[in-house]
Amino acid sequence: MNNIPFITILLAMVGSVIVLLLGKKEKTAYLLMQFIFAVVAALSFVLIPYFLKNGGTITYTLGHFPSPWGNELRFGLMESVLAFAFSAILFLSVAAGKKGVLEDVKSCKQHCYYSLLLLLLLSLLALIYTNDIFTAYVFIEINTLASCGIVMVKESGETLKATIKYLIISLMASGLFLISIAIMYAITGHLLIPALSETVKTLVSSGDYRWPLLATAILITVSMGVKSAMFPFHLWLPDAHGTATTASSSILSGVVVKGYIILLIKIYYRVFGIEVIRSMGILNIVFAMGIAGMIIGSVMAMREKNLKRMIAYSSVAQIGYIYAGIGVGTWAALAAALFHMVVHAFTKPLLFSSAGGLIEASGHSKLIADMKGAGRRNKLAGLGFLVGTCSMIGVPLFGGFTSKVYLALNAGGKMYIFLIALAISSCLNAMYYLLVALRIFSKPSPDEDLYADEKGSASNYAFVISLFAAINIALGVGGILVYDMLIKGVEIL
Amino acid sequence: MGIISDKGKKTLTSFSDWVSANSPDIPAEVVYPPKKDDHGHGHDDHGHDDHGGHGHDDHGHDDHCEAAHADETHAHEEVLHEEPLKEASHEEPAAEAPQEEPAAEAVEAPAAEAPPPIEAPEPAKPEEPVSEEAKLCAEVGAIERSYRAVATICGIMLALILVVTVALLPKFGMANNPTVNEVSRRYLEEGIKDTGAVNTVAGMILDYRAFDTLGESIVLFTATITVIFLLQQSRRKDNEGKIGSTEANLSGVRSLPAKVIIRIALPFSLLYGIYVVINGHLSPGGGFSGGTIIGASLILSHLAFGERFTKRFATVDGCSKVMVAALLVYMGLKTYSVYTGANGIESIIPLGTPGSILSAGLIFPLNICVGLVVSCTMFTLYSLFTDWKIS
Repeated sequence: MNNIPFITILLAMVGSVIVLLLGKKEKTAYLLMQFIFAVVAALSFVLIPYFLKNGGTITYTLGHFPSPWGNELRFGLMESVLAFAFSAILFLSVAAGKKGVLEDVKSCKQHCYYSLLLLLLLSLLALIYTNDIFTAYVFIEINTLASCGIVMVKESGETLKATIKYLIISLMASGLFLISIAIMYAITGHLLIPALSETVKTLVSSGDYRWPLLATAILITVSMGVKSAMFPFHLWLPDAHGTATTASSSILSGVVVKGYIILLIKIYYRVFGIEVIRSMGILNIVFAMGIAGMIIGSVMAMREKNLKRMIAYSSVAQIGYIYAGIGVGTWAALAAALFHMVVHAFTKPLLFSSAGGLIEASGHSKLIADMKGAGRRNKLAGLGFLVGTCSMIGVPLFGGFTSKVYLALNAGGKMYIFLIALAISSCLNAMYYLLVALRIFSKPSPDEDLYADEKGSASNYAFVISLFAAINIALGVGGILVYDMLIKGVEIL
Repeated sequence: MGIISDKGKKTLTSFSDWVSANSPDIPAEVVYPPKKDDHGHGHDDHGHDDHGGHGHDDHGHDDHCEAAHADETHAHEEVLHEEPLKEASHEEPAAEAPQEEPAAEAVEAPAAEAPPPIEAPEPAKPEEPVSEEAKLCAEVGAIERSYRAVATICGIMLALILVVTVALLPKFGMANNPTVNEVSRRYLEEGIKDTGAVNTVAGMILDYRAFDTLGESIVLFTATITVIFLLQQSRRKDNEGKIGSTEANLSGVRSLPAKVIIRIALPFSLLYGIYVVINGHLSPGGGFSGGTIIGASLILSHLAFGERFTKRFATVDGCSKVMVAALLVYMGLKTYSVYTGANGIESIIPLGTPGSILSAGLIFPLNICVGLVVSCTMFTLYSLFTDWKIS
C-alpha cells in the first residue's frame, strides 16, 4: 500500500521515456499513455478507501535515509483524492481532445506530445506527494517546461507568442521560488518539510530572522501566484489557455495551475503554519486578491469575443474563488477551496472540450459571434457546454453550486465580503455563459447557416463528454462525500 | 480568431489583388503600424505570419514593438477596439497572400512589399480607419507608459526586498550558522560510511538526495523533447531542400589553425570529461560536470569539422537514444534503491572500499548515466539549433 505513490510516479516517469521511443507508432504511444493515466488513477483510487479506514498519513523514504537527510514522500487522504482526480482528468481530457490533437499536432510529433503529457502527470504527482521543498522545485521546472511544450504544439504564430510569454513569466516565478528556497535554507538549514517546520517554529518564537522569513513567505506566495494565475499575475493565462489545442487547454486549466496551488497550501500549512502566515498579513492579501480575481476575471471574460479566451478568463475568476477560500485560513474553508478546485478541475476540461466541438461545428471559428446554432449542429458539445455553464454559474444540483455553498458557509468572519463578491461574480458568470449558451442553441436563419453540414463528433468524444457531465452532476449531488474526505485530509496536513 | 468567413475570403482575395496591383504607389512611411499586425496574427492564415513580420520590422521598429507589447499586457483593451479595426485587420493576411514564395526570397522581398498592407485603406472609406487608430495609439501609449512605470516600481521594490533580505541572512561560513546542523554534519562525518563515496557532494546528490537528481535529469530530458518538438519540422524540409545545411555546418570552419588546435585538443578534452565522470565519487566533479565537458567537446568537433565528421559518432537520433537508455538505467537503479530503502530491505549492492574506482555502490553507474544524459542533451540542443532552422 505505501509503495503506491512511488509506483505511480515511476510509471509516469518510465512511460514518458518509452512513449518517446515508440516514435512513429502514434497509436501505440497514445494507448500506452492512456493506459498509464488509467493505471495511475486506479492505483490512486485504491488509496482512498485505505486512508478512509485507517486515517493518518504515510511517510515514504526515497532511499535509505530518513527525513532530514534524504528525499521523502508523504501522503494521506487529501493527496490520494487529488492524485486520483488529476490523473482521471488527464485521461478524460486527452480522450476528449484526441481529435484536436490529431489535427493540430503533426503526426511525426505526436509521440513527443504524449511524452510531455506523461511528464506533466509525473510533475503533478510529485508536487502532490512531496515532503521536500527542493524536490518540489525540481518538479516545478519539469512542469513549467512540459506545460510550455503542450501550449506550443499547435505551432501557429499565436501559440508560439503565447508560449514565449508563458515561458518568460513562468521562469521568473521559478526563479523567485528558488531564491526563496535558498533564503529558507540559509536561515533554517533544512529542506525537508518536517524538519523545516520545526525550525521555523523555533525561529518564530525566538523572533530571529523575522524579515527573511517574511520575505520568503511573500516570495513563495508571489511565485506560486504567478504560476497559478492568481489575480494580478494572470496576464499569461488567457493567451496560453486560449490558443492551445483543446486537450492542452483542458489540462492546463484543469490540473496544471492546481498543482501549484496545492504546493502553496502545503507550504502555508506545513512549513510556516497557518497562524504564522495569518500574523504576517499574507492571508488577508491572498483573500483580497482572490476576491478581486473573482470579479475582474469575470468582467474580462464578459468583454471577450473569443470563446476559448472567454473560458480562460473565467478560470481566472474561479482561481480567485480558490484563493479567497485559502485566504480565510480555516480547515473548513481550506477544504471548501480544495473542493472547489476539484469541481473546477472537472468542469473546465468539460467546457474546453465542448468548446472544441462547438468551434469545429462552426467552421473552426473561435468567435462567439459565429457560433449561432452550433449547439444544434453538435448536440453533444452543446449539452456538455450547458452542463459546464450551469456548474460554473452555480445552478443547484451541479458541482459549482455545492462548492460555492461550502465556500460561502465557511467564510467565517469574512462572510459578508465573500457573499457580495460571490453574488457579483455569479451574476457576471451567468451573463456571459448564458449568452453563449443561448447563442449556440438559437436557430440560425438560413442565410446565417453557413456550417449546416459540419457536425464534428467522434465516438469516444461522446462517452467522455457525458462522463464529465455526469461527474459534474455527481459532485453537485453527492459533493458532501468528497468534501468530507477533503476535510479529513486537510486536518492532518 | 477566424473572423473571415467563406464569403469574406472571396472579397479579400480580390482586395489582395488590388493591394498588390497598387503597392508601388503607396508611400513607405508608416505612421501607425502596430495594431494591425497584432490582429493579423490572430487570423486563420498563420502560415504567413513570419513572412509579413520581416517587412514590419524593417521600418518603424520601435513603434511596432512597443505597441505590440502593450497589446499583450492589456489584452482586454484590445477587445473593446476590435470592431472599428476589423477592416484594417483584414488587410494583413490578404496582402500577404501573394507573398507565398520560398523562404529565401521572402526574407528580402517583403521590405518593399510590406508597407502597403499597413497604410492601404479600404477603397470605400479612405481616411476613417487611420483617424480611429490615431486615438487608439495615443491611448495604448498612455497605458503602456503607466504600465512601464508600475513595472519599474515593482522591479525596484523586489530588488530592494531581496537586497535587504540577503543583508540580513547569516554570514557565510560561520560556525554557529543555522546551516551547520545535524544534516550537514551527517553528510560530512558519516558520508563515507553511508554512501562509500569519498566525494561528499557525489554522495549527497546521488545517494542522500538521489530523487532530486533524477528529477534534474528529467528536466534536461523535458527540455530536449520540447526543443526537438519545436525544430523537428524543419528537419524534413532540410532533407528535401537543404535549406539549413550550409557548408560551414557540413564541413566545419575554414580556418586551418582552429582545425589543427581542435584536432589536438579534442582527444584530451573527451578523455578528461570521461575521467571526471567516472571519478565522480572519488574527486570533485561527477556526472554533471563531466557530461558538460564531453558535450562541449562534441560541440567543438562539430564546430571545427562539421556535420560530415561528427555524424560518424554522434547524431541527434543516436544521442536521444543514448539519453533515453541512460535515463531508463538510472530509473531502474533508483527504483531498486528506493524500493529496498523504503521497505526496510537490505540493499545487496556492496559499497566497496572507499577510494577505489569500483566503490560507492550505485553512485558510480549513476554518475555515468548522468554524464551521458548531460552530454547528449548539450550536443542534441546544439545540433538542433545549428542544423535545423526554425521555419
